[in-house]
Amino acid sequence: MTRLVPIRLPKSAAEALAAQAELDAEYRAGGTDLQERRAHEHEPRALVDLRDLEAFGDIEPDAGGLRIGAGASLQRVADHPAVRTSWPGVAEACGALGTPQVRAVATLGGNLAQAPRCWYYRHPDHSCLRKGGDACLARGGDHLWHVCFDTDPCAAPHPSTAALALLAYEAEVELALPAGSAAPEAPPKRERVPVEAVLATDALTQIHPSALLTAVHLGAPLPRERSAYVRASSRALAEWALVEVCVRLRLGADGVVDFARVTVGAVAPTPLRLTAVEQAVVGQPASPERFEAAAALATAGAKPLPMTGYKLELLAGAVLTALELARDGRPSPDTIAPAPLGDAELSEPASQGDR
Amino acid sequence: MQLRTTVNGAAETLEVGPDESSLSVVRERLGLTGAKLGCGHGACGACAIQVDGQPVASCLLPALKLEGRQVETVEHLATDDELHPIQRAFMAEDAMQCGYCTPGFVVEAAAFHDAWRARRGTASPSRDEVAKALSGHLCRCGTYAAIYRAVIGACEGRFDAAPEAGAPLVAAGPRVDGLAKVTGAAKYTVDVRPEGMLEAQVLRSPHAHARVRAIDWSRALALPGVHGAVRMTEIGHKVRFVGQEVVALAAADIATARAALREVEVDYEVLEAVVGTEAALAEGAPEIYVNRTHKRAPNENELDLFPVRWKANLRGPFGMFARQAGRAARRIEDDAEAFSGTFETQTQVHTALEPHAAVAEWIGDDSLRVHLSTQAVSHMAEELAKRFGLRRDAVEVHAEFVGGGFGAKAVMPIEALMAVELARVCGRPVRVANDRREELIVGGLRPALRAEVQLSVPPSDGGNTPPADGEAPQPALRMHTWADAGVAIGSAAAAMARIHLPQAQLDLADYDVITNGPPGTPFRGPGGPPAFFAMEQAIDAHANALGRDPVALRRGWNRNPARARVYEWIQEQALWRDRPAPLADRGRYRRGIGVATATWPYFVEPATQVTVAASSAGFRVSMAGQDIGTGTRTLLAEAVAAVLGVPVHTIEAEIGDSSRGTHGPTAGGSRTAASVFPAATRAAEALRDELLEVAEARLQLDAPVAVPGGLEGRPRGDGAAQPQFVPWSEVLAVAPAITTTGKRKRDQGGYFLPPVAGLAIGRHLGAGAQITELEVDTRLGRVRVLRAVAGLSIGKVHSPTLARSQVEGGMIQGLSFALYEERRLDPRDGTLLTGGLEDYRVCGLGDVGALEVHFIPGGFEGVQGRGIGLGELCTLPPAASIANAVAHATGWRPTQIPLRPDRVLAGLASVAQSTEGSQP
Repeated sequence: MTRLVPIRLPKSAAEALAAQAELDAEYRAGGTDLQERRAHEHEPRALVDLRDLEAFGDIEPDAGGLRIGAGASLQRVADHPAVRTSWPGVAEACGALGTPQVRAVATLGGNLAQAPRCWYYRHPDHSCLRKGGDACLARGGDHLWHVCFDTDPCAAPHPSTAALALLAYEAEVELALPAGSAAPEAPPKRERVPVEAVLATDALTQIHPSALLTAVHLGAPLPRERSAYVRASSRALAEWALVEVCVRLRLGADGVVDFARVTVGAVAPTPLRLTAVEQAVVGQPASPERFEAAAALATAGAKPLPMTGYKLELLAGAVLTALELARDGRPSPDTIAPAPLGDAELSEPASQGDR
Repeated sequence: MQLRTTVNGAAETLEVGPDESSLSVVRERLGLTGAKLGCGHGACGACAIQVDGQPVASCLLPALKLEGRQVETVEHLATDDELHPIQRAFMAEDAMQCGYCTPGFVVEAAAFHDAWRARRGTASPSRDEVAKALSGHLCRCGTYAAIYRAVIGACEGRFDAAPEAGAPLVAAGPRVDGLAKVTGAAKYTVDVRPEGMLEAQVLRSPHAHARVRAIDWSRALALPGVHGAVRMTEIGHKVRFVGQEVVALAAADIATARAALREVEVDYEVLEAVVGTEAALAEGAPEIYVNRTHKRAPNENELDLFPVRWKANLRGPFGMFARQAGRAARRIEDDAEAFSGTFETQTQVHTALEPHAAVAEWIGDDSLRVHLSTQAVSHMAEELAKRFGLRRDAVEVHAEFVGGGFGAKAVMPIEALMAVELARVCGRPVRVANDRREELIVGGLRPALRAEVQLSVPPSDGGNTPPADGEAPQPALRMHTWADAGVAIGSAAAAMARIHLPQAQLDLADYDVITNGPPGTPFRGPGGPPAFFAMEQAIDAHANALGRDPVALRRGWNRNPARARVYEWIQEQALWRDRPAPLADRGRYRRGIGVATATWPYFVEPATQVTVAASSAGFRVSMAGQDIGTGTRTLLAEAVAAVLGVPVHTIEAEIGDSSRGTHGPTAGGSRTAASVFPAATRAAEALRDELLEVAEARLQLDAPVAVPGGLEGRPRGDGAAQPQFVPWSEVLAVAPAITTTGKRKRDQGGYFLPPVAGLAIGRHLGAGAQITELEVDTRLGRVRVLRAVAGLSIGKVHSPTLARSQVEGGMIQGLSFALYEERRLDPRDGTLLTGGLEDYRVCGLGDVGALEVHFIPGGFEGVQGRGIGLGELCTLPPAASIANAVAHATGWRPTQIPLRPDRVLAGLASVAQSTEGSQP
């Protein structure tokens, strides 16, 4: 009863790239996004399933930072002791998205590369801009959940929660790309780019049609940082965010903020870093008045659609809440062990479904 | 590709497709149907299985990912003589209703429990921890309160052992079919797969309004694996909404059927469509039902349609239940202080977790067997016999288990007709089952409603003593409503004022606004939740404006004893009595308390009969009825067990088959308890009396009398002997097979109306109230219910634990309606946008505060069995209760639901500007 498209299960990145090029396939990591979408596609593309890719989900120390294999499940990232200690915003965001069942299977790489959740895009009978149609159907239609920073022809917000946390940590992603003129079996070229370089519509395939996201690199941790992740939604749990915010702060001994990163999601075609808010809190005491004034800057430059004006107030409120939570939260240690804990020291067995 | 995996301990090697899901592997390949397809996109969790001990949504997990893994399904959690503690807990706490979501919850909760116990021993997890762990699951019946109790209790170690050593597994809880539900053994229509079954898919109209000029399916029928097709819209007829059935086609499997439908060519004459009520009423709007096609409009209500005026797309007013309407209007006009407001409720979709589904099979030319997810096996068998010209006894309708209905499965589903027609054309069994998107389009809906309400309350006499109940001057109410049931008609929302304020002067009018949207169908308390949302807020708002106590005000008007009991109950509740002043909180989070009440009738199906049989194997109760989750099996078994004084679980309850047993009622209109319980009791009493006669004759006893578990009598002729106890088993051993049938007698004083079409409306009214405490996050616009207490006056409560479950479910559905659920169509072309359970938001475990249910004793002496149904009553007050609490907390009166964050923020901003600090 299944449609038999060609499928490959490569063991290495080189094989994966070659198979992709040969079949014009799409990569499948956890499959949680693809499975539903492909069920309604008339002619689904061939598949390169990354199940057997060697070391695809490994998490290991990397030059003072951390390299997280793109195939690591979101739950594993959220539970990883080193991530929790040194990059707490990443752990919190990855542990807050979706549901436990999805987080157990969905991968970090897949979360970054997933398709928009727009109800026009997901409609099996509609062909919107992103699916080769002429126009964004949400614009003239019902776009209650769409962007309030309208900067792209497509009005859907970027769906990745992990992305805004990674943006707050200025993470880089590692791509495997074909090694130019060499034989197809040659080891692929590895390239590291800032995470935001792969988030825009079709950014990854524009870098190269066969580009494979293989890992995320987190830089050296910041001691004594405080972080918070805030998600505004209707229901308490298991709901796509209306607005989401990741904040990192460091307070000096005098209570003055000396470091801040504020990133937001669900409001724009890609997650945004709000440098205006950051600048407004750095060098200032972490006081309610300062925070309120800074949070009000969150909407600077916003361009809401007719139905998304409410997101501005929600955004300012969520940024303020995240600033407060970060300020009141427990800071990360003064010094962080140079070699983060490896998988062997995990207290819980590694999550499944992400090999 | 080859897949090697281990399922429930057994190594399996299977050939699977690249896109095949793990759910397909366990259900279709291995026949393990405990895991269910609910939504198909990982939102509902009904498909959960464990992979290496970790619960996953198997609908989203490609089968190939199972390579080398250990898969455990719900079927493997229990052994023959030992349940998992979580299964015992779910049974003991009755954490299930229809049971369709139960295997998924059990699989997830078992993993959580095992991990928790390993780490934390018997420490108690918080509600928040449980909610987060189970956040990937939805229960449409609303069993969350019981799920909290079950999971927390199991983690505390309270269900490590069976309640009684050696007791049968089935006795672990009050619901007689609970064991089947927690082990995945319960078979639903979607689990039925007769030999040679074909799968159907449906070609649906992409246009909201069009005429079908021609259909060419020749290329589709020529494809290999395609067995037949039927037209669901006649040539020359119109389709009136996006998603309306045009062609149904059966093939060897779903993929083949889908591919074939793409080869069907339909020539549509596209007509101008009317999307939304504004467009429908606009000057020059195209008429949806032209000339004599009015009678094609489906009925969204349970009552028969009365002749009502049509004007283009407006049908109405329906005002049959008005009372002194002219005087009401004049009083309101003359009262400068009269309350005036407009309330709007959204389209709510039933979205039972088991979709509409049918498996039809012809046996010869003149006999039909249909497995149907239905609320009415008896009624459906009659209807199918009529439609297909068959003898009634040549039609069997089976529904062993039904995954929720809420009204949408009480009417003849088009899915059944398609399956029957296709089965005839193809000569093979055919299954039709909606996917989630289809279910959200055509699976039924509660119409959106706009209600304009005005209320005039006579001034109080200024005295210190409030008037006695019913002695205060009556109010005048004007309520005019406009319903959007898509292409359906029959709204009677304002009419509900006549049962709620029967002595008031009432200017009532209900209009249907016909639009090119999917048709409404009866939904748990048709018209009720929107009507009470408007009425009960109007009373609350007006009482506050006049500085009068809102409950005392209602008491002054009331002459109904059930309502009197409810009003008194409210006034006794500490949560209400000790509530803070309005607008007590001024910070980010603001708490408020609100109350709303409701009145509702009950139906009776006087033709209901229950059969009880005794044989050497024991007692069996049967009825051609069904259990949609409310607990009909248990109710039957309890009625019989009570008469015979035996444990409930020793009674075999047999339902779910129209051809076995006697006429059972449709599960709808709160009629099951009041119809079934008295009939079952009478049948059991007749059986008991026959057994006494048998004992007298065959065991040589003098004047035996029934006692719990058997009878007592003296050996014949020995007047001095002590009466001896004889258990029923000994009587059955000497008795012939005995079958007795019990009918449902008339209520004392008859019915409110004589039965029409087999349905009577009872003379009594049930009454209920809900007090809600909630918190408004004024910054992020979220409303969170902290606590809700419901009080119901319905007389004697049959099966109290199951009754509580049903009330909690009604409260939760009401909360979900008030805060989250909202069907949305594209404003241009009428396409459904909320086509999945991510976009159509049903409340989850984390959204439900602490719930309490009180059954207020007394009354209903004239009703057979002394108690009435409660399924609808309990879901009427929540939305108004929540809105009244929001007004109490913030001063903003919500007139439109759901209370999305954007609405809450806008509402708060509106009061901040105008009436800061004034009375809500």
